[in-house]
Amino acid sequence: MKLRHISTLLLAVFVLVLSAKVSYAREPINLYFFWGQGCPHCAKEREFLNTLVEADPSVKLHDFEVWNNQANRIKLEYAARKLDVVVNGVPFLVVGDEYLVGYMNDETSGKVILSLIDKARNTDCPDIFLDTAKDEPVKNENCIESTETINTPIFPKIGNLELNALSLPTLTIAMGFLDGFNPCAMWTLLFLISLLIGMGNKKKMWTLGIAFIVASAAVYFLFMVAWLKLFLFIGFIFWVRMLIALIALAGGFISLKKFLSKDATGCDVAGDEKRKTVFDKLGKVTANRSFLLALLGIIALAFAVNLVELVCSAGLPAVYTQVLSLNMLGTLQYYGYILLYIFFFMIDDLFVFFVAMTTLQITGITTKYVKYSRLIGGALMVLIGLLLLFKPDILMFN
Amino acid sequence: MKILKFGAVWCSGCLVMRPRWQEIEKEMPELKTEYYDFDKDKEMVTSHKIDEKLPAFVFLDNAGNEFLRLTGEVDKEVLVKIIKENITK
Repeated sequence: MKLRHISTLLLAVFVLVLSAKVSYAREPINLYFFWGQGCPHCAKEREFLNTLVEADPSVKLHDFEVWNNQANRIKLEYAARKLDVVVNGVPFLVVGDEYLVGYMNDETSGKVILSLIDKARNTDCPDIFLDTAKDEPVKNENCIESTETINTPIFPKIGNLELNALSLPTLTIAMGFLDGFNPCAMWTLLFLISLLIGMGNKKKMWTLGIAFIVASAAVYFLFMVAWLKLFLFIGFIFWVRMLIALIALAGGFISLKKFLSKDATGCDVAGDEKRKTVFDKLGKVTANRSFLLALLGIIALAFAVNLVELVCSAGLPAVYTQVLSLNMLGTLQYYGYILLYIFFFMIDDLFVFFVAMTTLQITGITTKYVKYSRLIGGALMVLIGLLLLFKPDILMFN
Repeated sequence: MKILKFGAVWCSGCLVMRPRWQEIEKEMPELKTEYYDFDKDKEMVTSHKIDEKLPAFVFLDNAGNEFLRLTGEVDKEVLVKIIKENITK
């Protein structure tokens, strides 16, 4: 008799365990929605989630505004650690131990959300805010395998062209071009070309010149990636965005003031000592009999000169990378945009170099339009500054 | 009249002015001009106080006195007009 009772109890426990395992019932399903005030994609996702929650009482929405609320930012950082993911922007939705970055539309991202809810309901994957040990990434690989990231392609589709998709590449080209427009900023390259032309060795001329340009671009790339990483890390903090907005406004007004002043065209002769030092070194490096040493010397010099020159153009790259960080892109897309910026930043250098190497005559680029580049660049910086302050969502192009 | 031209190999505007002056000098062989490099001809640079902008063009009369100074890029037509008006100075 006693044995029968025990058997019945064991059977009941077994049936209970089995039924629990089959249904994986988890009620309610918690959606943790991280968003930013003024972010248009967040607004779209919120609308979808609100409708979803109204229709399905078993789904509960917890929302966290992260641009203006530090406590919520800490929660977002916690989620990122648990999911072992770098959060580049909002909206960011956590369902169980799955996440969704960005929001395209109800048909694509909406469907992904529904499938995440379905998965959370039908699997035993943990809710990272409820079930797992504090500050430890989720270990169950089956649970995090289907993580989705919604991104838009770097270049818009031909035939289905949208203005928004065009805006970021256009802004990138415009800012890169304006940043590199001042022809007087290419003094080192012009001096190097004058030395190379006198060499008579075509192979050496091309190699040293290209090495200098590539090394200069590499310095700028590293510098901009550092800015971007910084902004991806702290850029969504309200005060950081305000600071960059003020830098953009200040830089913009200085440019506009220069445009209005009766400043003659031509190159400033300031920095005589610095220039002399660089020229002496360039002369020694290019005259080196060992080709390898000359090449290494040119690369080292390009790094050194461009690091010093970075101080002069800190404004535009910093503002641009802040805007870039507001757009949710994949790592390769971020790098792609930075490379596009640098290509247009260096396009005048490339033009001067290729013309000089082909014709063996050094050509200058007119300084006549610097004044107008100050007007356009200044107006653009002021506009970006105002948008960062009051309507950052307009700068979130995708 | 004599024109002193100050420029530098690293100055883009100076390079732009080079062919303009070559054309003018070809068209007006009677014109006297002298070129000075900002980095090499320091004595002339200092004595004529070239310390703000390049390229710089200093116009001297027959007595060697400066009567006009232009800086930056100048259109060929403007230069020709000034030279014609002052060539006998």
